[in-house]
Amino acid sequence: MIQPSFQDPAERPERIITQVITRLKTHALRDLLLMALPPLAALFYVGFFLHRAAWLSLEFFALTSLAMAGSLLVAGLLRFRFSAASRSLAARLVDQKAAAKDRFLTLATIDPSKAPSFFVERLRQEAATLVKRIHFKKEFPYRIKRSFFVSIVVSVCIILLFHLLWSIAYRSSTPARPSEDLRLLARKIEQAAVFPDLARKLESAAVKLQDENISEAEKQALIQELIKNLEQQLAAGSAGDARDDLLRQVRDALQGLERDFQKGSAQKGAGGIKSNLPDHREGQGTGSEKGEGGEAKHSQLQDSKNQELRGEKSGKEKEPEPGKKQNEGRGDRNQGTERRPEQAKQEKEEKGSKEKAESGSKGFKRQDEEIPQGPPPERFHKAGAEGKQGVKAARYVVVQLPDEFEAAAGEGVSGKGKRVRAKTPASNAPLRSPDTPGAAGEKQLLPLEYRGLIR
Amino acid sequence: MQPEEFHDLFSLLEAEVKKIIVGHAEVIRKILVAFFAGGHVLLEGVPGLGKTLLVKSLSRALGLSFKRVQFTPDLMPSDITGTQVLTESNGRRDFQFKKGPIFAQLVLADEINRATHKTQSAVLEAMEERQVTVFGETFSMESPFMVLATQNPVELEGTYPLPEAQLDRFFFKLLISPPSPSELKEILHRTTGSGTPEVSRVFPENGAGQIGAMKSLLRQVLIAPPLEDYVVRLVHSTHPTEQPRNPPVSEIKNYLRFGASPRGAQAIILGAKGNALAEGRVHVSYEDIASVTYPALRHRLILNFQAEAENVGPDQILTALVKKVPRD
Repeated sequence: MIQPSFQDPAERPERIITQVITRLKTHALRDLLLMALPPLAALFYVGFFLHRAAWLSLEFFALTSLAMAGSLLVAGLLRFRFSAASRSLAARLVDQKAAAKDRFLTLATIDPSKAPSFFVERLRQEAATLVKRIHFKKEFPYRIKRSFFVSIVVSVCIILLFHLLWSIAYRSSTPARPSEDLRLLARKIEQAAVFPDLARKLESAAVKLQDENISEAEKQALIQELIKNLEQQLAAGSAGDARDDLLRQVRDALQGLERDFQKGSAQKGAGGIKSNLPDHREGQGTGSEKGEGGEAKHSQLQDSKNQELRGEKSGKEKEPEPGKKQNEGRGDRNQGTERRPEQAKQEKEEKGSKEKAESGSKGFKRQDEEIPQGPPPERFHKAGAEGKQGVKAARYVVVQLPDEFEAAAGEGVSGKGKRVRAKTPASNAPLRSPDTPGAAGEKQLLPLEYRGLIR
Repeated sequence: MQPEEFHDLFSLLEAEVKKIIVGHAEVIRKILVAFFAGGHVLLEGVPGLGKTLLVKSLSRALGLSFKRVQFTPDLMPSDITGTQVLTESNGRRDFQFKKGPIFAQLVLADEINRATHKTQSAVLEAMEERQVTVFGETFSMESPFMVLATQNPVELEGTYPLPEAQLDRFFFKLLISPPSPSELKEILHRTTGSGTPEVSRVFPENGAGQIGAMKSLLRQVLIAPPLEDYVVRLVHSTHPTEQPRNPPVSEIKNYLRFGASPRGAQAIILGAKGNALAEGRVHVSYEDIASVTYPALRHRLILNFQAEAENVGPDQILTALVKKVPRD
């Protein structure tokens, strides 16, 4: 007769079912964490990126992160609750591993109070011998599920998609209004908790930029003043490396704003006018040769310009009293009318070569050119306007000399040094406008105005 | 009684019957399980497979009274139940009820489908109620009581197929297949040689008490609730009208007119318990349920005309059922 045993619940073989349930719950929790952490990290990264770009404030970022973590926790708990192994499932697993023919399932699910005790004890005896077949850790190991790898892939895709959309939005976005830029800068400095005065100044500048009663020149002057202050602080060099970087960032942003401002005011038509006509040089030698060398010269010019600008900037940082010299240098550069002749010549050559290379282009745009203040340079003159270099977009037409000049010209050409002097003008009829079709090719009688031009 | 004692006696019974019957081990086990579960069995097979010998051997091993009734078309119900006979004693004449063959403990109803429905129904009351009413007087059957009926699947002319109500009262329907070549050779050795073996009695003269204890023990076998749920799902899936629009077992809707009754579920549970105990276990497993599903349900599924036209049998439907109904 089998003696009843297993009075102590701790000794009963069905205890293994409880252990299996605990283990399966741990596995389910690990699966959940592995599945939830990558997307959470991805979302945190996106939020942190936006926060660093000053799109999100620290409080909003912290709140959003907490909300995301909280919601994921709740969703995880709910899923964990439904995916946690039931008692019968755990018992079936044990039966499977121990080849127990549903003994553990029966022990786990029957009500011992309603079943014959003798049968229950007999079942426990049989199950106890079978428990020894189970090596717990070997039979129920943890394996990383496919959901984890899917989660990682999805998270990486989220991050890549975000960066792709960010770069597309950044390229295609219209320039923010200057006031918004300044506000963002102010917020950035405020978040860094340094230079509170500067932050306030930027904020007030942003307000002023939005004010329509303030003129463009005053706005530009305001920006220049801010830049000057920043240059002074940088030159003082007392803020520290990280703060210097911040100041430089702000300064670069302000300089960019200034350029945008000047570009905008230039396009509105104050002083200089952008010419739509190509600047032809048909009468001045072969343009093709210039075109070939022009591209190389253009790149050299770009480099030299950049070097000059860099040199000026570094020079400004090193000088003990940067204010005056910087202003002078800036004023010199920005005036435009007192340009160096070499630079002007190089620019013209560069224009010609550029137009040869890009036949479809209408105008010439140089990214690194600083828009000078004051009256615009001659290249912005309208066609027909007179400048130091002559009449803008002047065209040359074939002129038919009067008979008496032709005869004199023939004699002059044969000999060296002889000049033909017109005695009587043939006509003072004006030339047709150079943009008239066929104007360049027509032969016209020499008018009075061109007397001094014939050599 | 202990489970080990049950197992020992069960094995002894099997061994005694196997002395005479070659092969058919599964049929012998199922008949014994049905006996201890308190059910009746319908055996179907061609003539000459030893159905009658099987039942006779069983009755000898069990030590029970045995009667064989050959059903013919002219058999009357009174030939089965018994009738009033006029007797004379001490100068007095009186009617005395003479019990029919149905009053044995083990009754072999041979070729039951040859008798008329009226005669077949005479067996019905005895099978279900364990009693017979003749001329208003009720006579109870002796315990234990079991009816083993046989039918021939070949001779369909002049036969009366059993009505569904009577079919449902059989616990199991077992198919007896022809012996294999090796089995046939063994049969020839045993039956055509000298010295046929004898079946020994396993239970003593007053062995009814022991048999009763074994029957009681069978009902105490443990069965887990998930297994009971599985049996319920199985039986419920056999009803074509209870299926959803796209049932998992399409054969049910296509080929069945009516499904199994609750007796089918009872037969599965009791049969699984008997099977478990026969293997020396005190609990039911999924394998026990799988082994008794076919005998318990094949005669309870009523096929429609499409099944008959396409020659689809109940076993094919049950195969699909067992495959598609989930265990959990």
